[in-house]
Amino acid sequence: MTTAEHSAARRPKGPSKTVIFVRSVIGRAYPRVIGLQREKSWMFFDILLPLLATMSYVLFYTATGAPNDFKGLVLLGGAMSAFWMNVLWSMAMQLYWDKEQGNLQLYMLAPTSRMAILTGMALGGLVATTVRAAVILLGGALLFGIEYSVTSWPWAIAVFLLSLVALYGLGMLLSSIFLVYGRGAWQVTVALQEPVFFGSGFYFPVRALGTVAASAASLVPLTLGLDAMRQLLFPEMMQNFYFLSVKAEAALLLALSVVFIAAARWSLNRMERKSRQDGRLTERGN
Amino acid sequence: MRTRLASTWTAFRVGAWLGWKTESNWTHPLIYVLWSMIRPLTSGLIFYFMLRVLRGGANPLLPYVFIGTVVYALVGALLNSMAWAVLEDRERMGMLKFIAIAPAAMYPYLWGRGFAKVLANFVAVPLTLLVGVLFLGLPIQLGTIDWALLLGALPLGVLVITFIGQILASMTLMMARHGGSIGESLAAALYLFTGALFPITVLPSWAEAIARAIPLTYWLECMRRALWTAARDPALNTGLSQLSNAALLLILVGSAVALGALSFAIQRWAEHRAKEKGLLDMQTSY
Repeated sequence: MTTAEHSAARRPKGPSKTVIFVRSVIGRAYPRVIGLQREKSWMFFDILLPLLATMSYVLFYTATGAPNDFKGLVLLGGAMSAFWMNVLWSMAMQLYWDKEQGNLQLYMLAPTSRMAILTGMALGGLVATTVRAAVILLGGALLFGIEYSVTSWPWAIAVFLLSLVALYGLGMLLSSIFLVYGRGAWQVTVALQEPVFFGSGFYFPVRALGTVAASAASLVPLTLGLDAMRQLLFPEMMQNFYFLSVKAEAALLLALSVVFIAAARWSLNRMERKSRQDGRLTERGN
Repeated sequence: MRTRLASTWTAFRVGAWLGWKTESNWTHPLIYVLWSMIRPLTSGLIFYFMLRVLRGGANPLLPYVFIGTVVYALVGALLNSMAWAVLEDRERMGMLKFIAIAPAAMYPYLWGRGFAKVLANFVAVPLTLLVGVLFLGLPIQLGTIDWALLLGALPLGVLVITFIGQILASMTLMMARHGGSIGESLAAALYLFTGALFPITVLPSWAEAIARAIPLTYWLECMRRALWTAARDPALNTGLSQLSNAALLLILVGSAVALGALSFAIQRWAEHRAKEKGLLDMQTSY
């Protein structure tokens, strides 16, 4: 009997790895979705208030007498900012937060992969975030009379999905890195929030920053995703402001998705090992 | 009475000390100040680039929006820190219940937590304005600053924001932890109604009425008038130019008194309600 056959024979019968992965994803996504139904206050704080915040950027363009397309550009940025906030606070920070609350050790004991838990976290978080983004996009369009002239729906959907995959891949990577951090993780998260709004061009076309800065900012997937979606939604205005072509941005987003998810997987294993070695998995209040 | 004052002072002092430690002792004080500058600076830069995309050169709205958005950082910091202190103490540190049963009141303790955050911003905000003067050509000169107005309006404004933060913190006692923080969401939404980014006359009439009912609108006007000589230029059409400096300060005094009384009453009610419903050690880690 070979070693593999021997270990397979010793392994008790049970669900396959794939089944465990899928169950873990559902299991982790479930409390996020249910939690939203139990705590209705998120509708006010996570939907209405961000809509008002985005409106202030739109009205700023109104005050300057900018054409309507600029307001649409801001609305799209405001809608996508919901995903960045979700990635920062509910993905990147979550394992750190779980560590502080004592949940992390339970994740570590569970016979599943940490990637499955993070994927569940991402999918669960996406529900509320997508609602928030849709309300900003549609509510803003109705309030300000903004029209989206979509040049290609398939491309728009593809770019949107690619942006999210790459973005949540980045979230998983950050989450694994923050696993070994102390309170510094918190400060890094705060420090990443507003500068990314600026660097990724959430409220203005990123080309205004210049090629070098815009290229550097493209490490955050929303930089490319926003630019591509704006080209597809406001083609006339973006003729003068686009950074790269839609196809090039989609290809780069695909590459970023692969790189971030692979890096997250590698980093998660490495950081978990390091945390175990340093005895930091159960550490609290540091 | 004397004992009560001493106990209030102790709670404030302990809250401020703890707030300062949790806020800043993760790094060197100088790095902490630089870190505190990130948010106001990038906010100001966002609007600088929004204007640059539109007009290409200098814009008369730049000083208006830059001063507004940088000074507004105090609002965000205070609102966020006080609401977040509740969540942090309740869910991360698990010590809110101990504060609730301690002889000192929770009210001055939360004040202290907020004060610690403002302290750092008192350095970061002037430094950010200095960056604006040096690199973006902001027309602020030491010789033309209305120091009397500045020194009168600043503490009054901080007091008003603290009372609003206190109300928010009281509400947080009865709410779950959502993705980011409710303080941040509220601060972002108040952008719309306080004339931080654009004159309130840009708003629809119903929204302008709301803006006129919010004390922060008058505080921002005071701060602009104190720092920028052209803030009363009729061309800006702020809708507040008919009010004298004294009238603005009087409005702030009245607002501080009213909000102080309101925040005290709400805090007492919310604390009682949270105890009654067993929410002081609630964990919402979905």
